Amino acid sequence: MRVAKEASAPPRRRPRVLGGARVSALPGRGDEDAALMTRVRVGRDRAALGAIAEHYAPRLKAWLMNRGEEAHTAEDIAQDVMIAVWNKAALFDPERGSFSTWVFRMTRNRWIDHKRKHDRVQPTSPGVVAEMADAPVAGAEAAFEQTEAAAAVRHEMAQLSAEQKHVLHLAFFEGLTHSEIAERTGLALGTVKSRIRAPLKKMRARLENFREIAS
Amino acid sequence: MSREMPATFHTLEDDWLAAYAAGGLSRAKRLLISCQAAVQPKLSAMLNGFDHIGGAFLEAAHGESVSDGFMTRMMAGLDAPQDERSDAAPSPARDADERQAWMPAPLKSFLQEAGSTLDWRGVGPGVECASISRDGDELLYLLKANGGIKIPEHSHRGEEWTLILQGGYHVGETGYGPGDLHREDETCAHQPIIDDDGAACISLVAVEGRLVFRDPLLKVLQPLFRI
Repeated sequence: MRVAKEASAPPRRRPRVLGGARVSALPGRGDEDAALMTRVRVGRDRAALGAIAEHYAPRLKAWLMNRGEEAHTAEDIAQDVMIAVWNKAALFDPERGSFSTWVFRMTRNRWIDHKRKHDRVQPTSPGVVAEMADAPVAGAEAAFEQTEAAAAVRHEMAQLSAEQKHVLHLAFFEGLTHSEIAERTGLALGTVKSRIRAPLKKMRARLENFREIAS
Repeated sequence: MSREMPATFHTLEDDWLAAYAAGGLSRAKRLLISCQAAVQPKLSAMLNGFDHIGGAFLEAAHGESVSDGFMTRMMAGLDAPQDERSDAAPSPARDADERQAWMPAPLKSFLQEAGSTLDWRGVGPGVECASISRDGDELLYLLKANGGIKIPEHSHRGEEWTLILQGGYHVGETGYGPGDLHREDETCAHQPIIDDDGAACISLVAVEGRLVFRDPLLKVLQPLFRI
């Protein structure tokens, strides 16, 4: 795990890894992914898609299994996402954010769709509406410079302590609730919330500044 | 939304927004956040930022090995007819909803995809309710209240999230207006008073469990209100 050094901070003890965090270096594949996606988009290069899938498919599978999906279902959804990456490659614009953000969003939305379809099998009250639009951020790109936003987020993430990074990992990657994070880490619920909120608050300030400059 | 959004607005704490970005929360709560993001560009930008966080963790996490045939199946899938499902934003509504300027696009899409139309019913003097869905013990509905109305004091058995789509109300000294998302939980009893500035207040409400009214008469009548 790479931990950013803070010049003014007191000597840091060896980073404590709570609850078995499994986060490797953050981040690093942006340029490589963008180059692979160019090959996919322009050259319809299956080997490039293969290289992307080699890195991301196991991670998508892990993300989905963390949300309670069986291994085979997680793999099916990961496969659907990779095929969608191929089919929708023309929509990916590296100037507007990293591939990992794009594929994260696509995976989350596909998983939510999958859950909806699954939920429909269960008995529901009359008149229940089964579908929900989940395009929360449509149109935001127009008002916001995504590349700078991504850079701002990654800059802030690089400043996080190991503990903060771990709690965010549990929330974003493992999808745990605050109570579950508290249980997993042995931290008080209030501590968990503050460890999630504090770095996000800093990012919020930076992101809003970017928007004000961009708009 | 008829009014321009103010620079500052009420929304959820970041930990709720993080849960949204991670794919958590109920359908109703997700819809409220989607609707707020559709009308508050700053929130939309923030959620995009959270997606960058999710992407960065995805990029760096340790994965679960995929089965031996994964790559072969995936490559074979590239030649299959394309899934018609679109990741793009849903098309605009085509019917009467289009005239409802207060209705944010995600709610319009929700109703359109469900083939559902709003069935407004009076639930008291100057107050109408249009039920949208029930998911477990969570109700999702639209509430329309005329200016000056006092919503009877109530608490909740769980969370109550209210997104204001038109008009506004005050709870004590705190004012909530169009585009504000107001969250209360079971620890808080409150009595919103609808702002008396002409327009009716329309809000989208997700509530867990039934409201708990202080007035015994309302408790008796509550089943008729279906809230």
